[in-house]
Amino acid sequence: MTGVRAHEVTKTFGRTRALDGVTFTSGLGVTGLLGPNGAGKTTLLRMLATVLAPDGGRIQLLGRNPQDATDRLEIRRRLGYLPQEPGFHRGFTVFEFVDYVAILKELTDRRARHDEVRRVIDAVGLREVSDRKIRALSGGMRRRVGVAQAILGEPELVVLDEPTAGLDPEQRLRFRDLVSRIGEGRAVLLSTHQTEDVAALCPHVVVVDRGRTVFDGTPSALTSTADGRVWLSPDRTPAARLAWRTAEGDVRNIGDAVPAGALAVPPTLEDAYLLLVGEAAAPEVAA
Amino acid sequence: MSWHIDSETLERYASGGTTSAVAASAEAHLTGCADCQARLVPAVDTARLDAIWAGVEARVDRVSLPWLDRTLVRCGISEETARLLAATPSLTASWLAAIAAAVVFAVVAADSSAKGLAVFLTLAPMLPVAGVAAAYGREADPAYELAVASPYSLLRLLLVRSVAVVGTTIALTAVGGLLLADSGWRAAAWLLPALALSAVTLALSARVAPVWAGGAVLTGWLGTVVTAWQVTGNRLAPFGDVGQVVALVVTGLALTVLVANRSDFAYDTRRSA
Repeated sequence: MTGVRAHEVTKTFGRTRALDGVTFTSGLGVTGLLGPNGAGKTTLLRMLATVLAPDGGRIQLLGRNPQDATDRLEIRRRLGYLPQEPGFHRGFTVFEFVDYVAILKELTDRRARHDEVRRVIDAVGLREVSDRKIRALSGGMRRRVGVAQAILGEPELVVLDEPTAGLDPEQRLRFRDLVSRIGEGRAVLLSTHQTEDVAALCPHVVVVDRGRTVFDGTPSALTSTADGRVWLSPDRTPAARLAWRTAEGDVRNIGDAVPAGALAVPPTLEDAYLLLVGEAAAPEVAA
Repeated sequence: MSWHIDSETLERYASGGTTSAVAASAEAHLTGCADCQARLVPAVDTARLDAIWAGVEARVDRVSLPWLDRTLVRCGISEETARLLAATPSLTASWLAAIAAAVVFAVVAADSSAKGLAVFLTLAPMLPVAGVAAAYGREADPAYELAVASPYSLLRLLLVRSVAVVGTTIALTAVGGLLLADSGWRAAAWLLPALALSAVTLALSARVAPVWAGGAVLTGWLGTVVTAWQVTGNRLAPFGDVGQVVALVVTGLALTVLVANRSDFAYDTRRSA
């Protein structure tokens, strides 16, 4: 059994229901976890990284149960994890920090460990700054340090929480390349609120909204849920649920059905996503 | 080539048994003579060659360690443990400097009166607690989340760091205690309370973040000291024979609870998102 199975997973913090029954299955390759801010993505990923225990429901990782101590240890040995806000010991150099995580990952043979640390630092393109202190690195470089430690020891399951947040377009491109390579032969779960990331990277997409799974399938299946629901018009149409003026000057409308006489256009992944999660994802473009 | 290396010399060269002059001329010949190279290959002991290479690689691979790691390695601690300790917030130079400053303050405050000694004895056990509270946990360790998701035992990590922190803090405080030698044995009466409070902090860390555990323990300690003083009328009452026995019992109980609750260290102890 590879990958992740989540069944009716719930989690409550105080009075906030962070997860309200999340169900999905994912296997090898990159699975994109899409959802607006506050949808519960990070809570879910922290559970998939064995950091949090669910209140209810079942999680299976690499065919094992993270609630069981022996299984959990085995999962952690095969897991790579990039938290949403990875903290660093800023006084460490890149090498020292990655080596520190490698020690936590039980790479006990010193020489083999150092070789592995150099390999992952090379893989994210940080060889030149390997001896530089983390506090002297740019934000983008720090994120790459985060990815480097996540691929230590060739993990079978890689959990990446918003690895592209705060990156410029060129850095984002590098990341996509890196993540798609990581996804070869492994189960990768990646959360994002960027539909472009999913369209570019993920053969499988899970959409979470208000703590529930609202879509589980391929990106093209997600896109086709908006078939016949997107149209262009010179001005805002009342029938639109969301509408915004594009760079070409037209208004792009998405709604339940194309009104008579309007110009229907093929939907994008973003249209479908916006229709699915509505205003929560796009307050700035809401009509 | 007009000549070739004779078999005996070749054998000795292959096993590293020739003088350096002979080895040098053999090498000069070997670089240009395919025949002798071919004869040399089966004579070379690959295990010996691997050992030599491993030695070279080990030297090249030696990374320079930061001062704290270096000091720890010199004290006989493995490089791996040294790195885990170097990531401890309460083992940094600035933290240790703050502890030293607190000890100096406590020593200066401790004149020969019972009041002065009581100040020192009350403050001294609080220092290792602060160290343990800041050794680990989401609030103190920026890479805590990675440690939780790693196969390394969180309890072990907490213990390794706490032993180092309590050890260094006690050593620093003991130096201060020596300066109070005219108070006799009583100047050492903080030691068992220090161990007891550190152990309780560790035990509570199974359920709450270490920072909160430390805060609760320090509050409890101050309450106990003041109560004992008010009840007995003696400022040094908590540090007498009874106090020492209580401290020892509390240490034992706390460590028992810690071991019993070790499975609680599996996940993040934080309650909210």
